[in-house]
Amino acid sequence: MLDWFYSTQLWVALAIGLITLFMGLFGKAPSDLTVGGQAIVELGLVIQLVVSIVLVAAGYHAVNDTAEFFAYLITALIVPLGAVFWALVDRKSKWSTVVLGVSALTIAVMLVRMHQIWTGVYN
Amino acid sequence: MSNSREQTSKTKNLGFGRLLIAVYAIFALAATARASYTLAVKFNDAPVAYVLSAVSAAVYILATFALAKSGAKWTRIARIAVIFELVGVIAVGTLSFTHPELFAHPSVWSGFGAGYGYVPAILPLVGLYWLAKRNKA
Repeated sequence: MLDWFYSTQLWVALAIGLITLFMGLFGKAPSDLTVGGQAIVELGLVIQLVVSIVLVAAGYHAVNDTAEFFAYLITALIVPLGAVFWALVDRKSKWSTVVLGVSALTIAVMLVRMHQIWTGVYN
Repeated sequence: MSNSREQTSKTKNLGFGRLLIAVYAIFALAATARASYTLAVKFNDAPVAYVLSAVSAAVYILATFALAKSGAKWTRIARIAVIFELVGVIAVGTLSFTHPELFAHPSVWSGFGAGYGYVPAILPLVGLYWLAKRNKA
């Protein structure tokens, strides 16, 4: 993991998660803005995947366990897709927006865990 | 008339339950990914913990679908799954303190779900509350 990219991605996911969550709790149905937030989070994960593959190909590896790192990354890639699918099916409910927010916050938590696995700071 | 009333009460009932179902879905996904990875890569390190991870993953999947379905049968299945989950998190949580050697590697339920912000312990309580509330409505 590149440190600067990890930090940027983490703070962006956190911000998008909190803003989306509050928009949902205040009664907004999913919009281009909140679904777009998921697109940004997903794009970040795709970039992270490409960067990680390149790093591993160049001989770097996770301190703890590279396979576990990729297991988290691939699982994380599924979450925003599921949340957007949910929002498309149930497009009039404020709870769909809350679900989008929870999705981005879940990604933030998974990024922290991925960073721990990559750097070996914590088992 | 009765149909439209049923419709509104159904929508209303779903409200907060949708968030509950979504969180269950995330846990179902996370637990399944974790269980598949550990069963494939390091099963021999801590077989008890990893078999439990697989069991918890299955329960989360069942609970997610059962909560999402309406009707008495699915409500009953959801209640059984959620109670199983509550018993599981309490039993495994306690055992992980009294017999740590069984859980050399963390599972979703060890330490009462401490590794997951205690959400695994809170989730079944919220689930039972919501099922009771939906049943009354």
